[in-house]
Amino acid sequence: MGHRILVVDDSPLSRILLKEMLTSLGHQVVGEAQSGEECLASYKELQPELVTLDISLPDMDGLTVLRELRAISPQARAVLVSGNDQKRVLEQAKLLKAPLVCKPFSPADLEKAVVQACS
Amino acid sequence: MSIDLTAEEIGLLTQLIESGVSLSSERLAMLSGAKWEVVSASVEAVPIVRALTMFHKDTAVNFGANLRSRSLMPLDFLMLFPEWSTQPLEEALAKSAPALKNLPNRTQAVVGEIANILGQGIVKAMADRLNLSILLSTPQVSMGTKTDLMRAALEKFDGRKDTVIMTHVEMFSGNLSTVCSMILVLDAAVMQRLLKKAITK
Repeated sequence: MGHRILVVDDSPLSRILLKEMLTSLGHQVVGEAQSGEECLASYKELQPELVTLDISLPDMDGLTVLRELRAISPQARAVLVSGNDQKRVLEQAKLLKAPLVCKPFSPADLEKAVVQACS
Repeated sequence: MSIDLTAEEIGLLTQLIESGVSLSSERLAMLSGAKWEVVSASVEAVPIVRALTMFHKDTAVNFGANLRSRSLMPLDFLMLFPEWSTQPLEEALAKSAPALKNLPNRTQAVVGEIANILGQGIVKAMADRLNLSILLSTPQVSMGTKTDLMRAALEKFDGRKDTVIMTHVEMFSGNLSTVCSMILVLDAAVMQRLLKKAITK
């Protein structure tokens, strides 16, 4: 079953790649944001089921954004999408119960993470 | 200030850089769907003034993407693509996302994204071995000669007295007929302290 997803990435290229991949996997991209502040505003407005969240954002890092999302909605679900898969970052992602998909990734990698985040 | 790294420190740093470069080239191959080879790679402590003159004979225009970290391990990562080299990369990426063809400032977006993925690959080995988290900034893409782009990336250093640890990697893809250069500049004093700590653990 498809999910309503908000895509958050500062890179327009990544947003396009994610949007095409998620749509081809049967999901609905309900909005896009390119910064942490935009993500928080869009989340309140659009109430997506899931957020794909880049870690390197221009105003705050994705892990901080996820903590703020959880302050708004403790059930907020997210998939971290980043080139940063350092040990310390993976530990933080695990603590936040958010799977991390490392760039570059395949549609199968992304779908696996979406399923994990929504389970 | 001048920095004298011990043989052991140089050995560990070289090992970390080689591991990072290997991961970056694997990720670039996955992203572009083509094989990449490392043509040359060097790691050395150099005075800023020398770093700024290393490309002085090359007057071609390049796209440059700069990523920075100002955390526990300050660093600057600069990815350089000659102007002619970006077209094959754009075409390779457009195969997996046709909508990319309509993206405004497409070249800058492609250069920024590739730099981000390569930069993350190259710092991962250091972050994991030194038990740090290195958060890179979003890429800033601009155009100029390699010397102009290096000068902008190194502006925080004092060209008269500072020494940095510089890694310079040249990569080539025969399948795509294209090239790129990666420059990683590390704060020499901080890096030496972190290497010492890692060696004595």
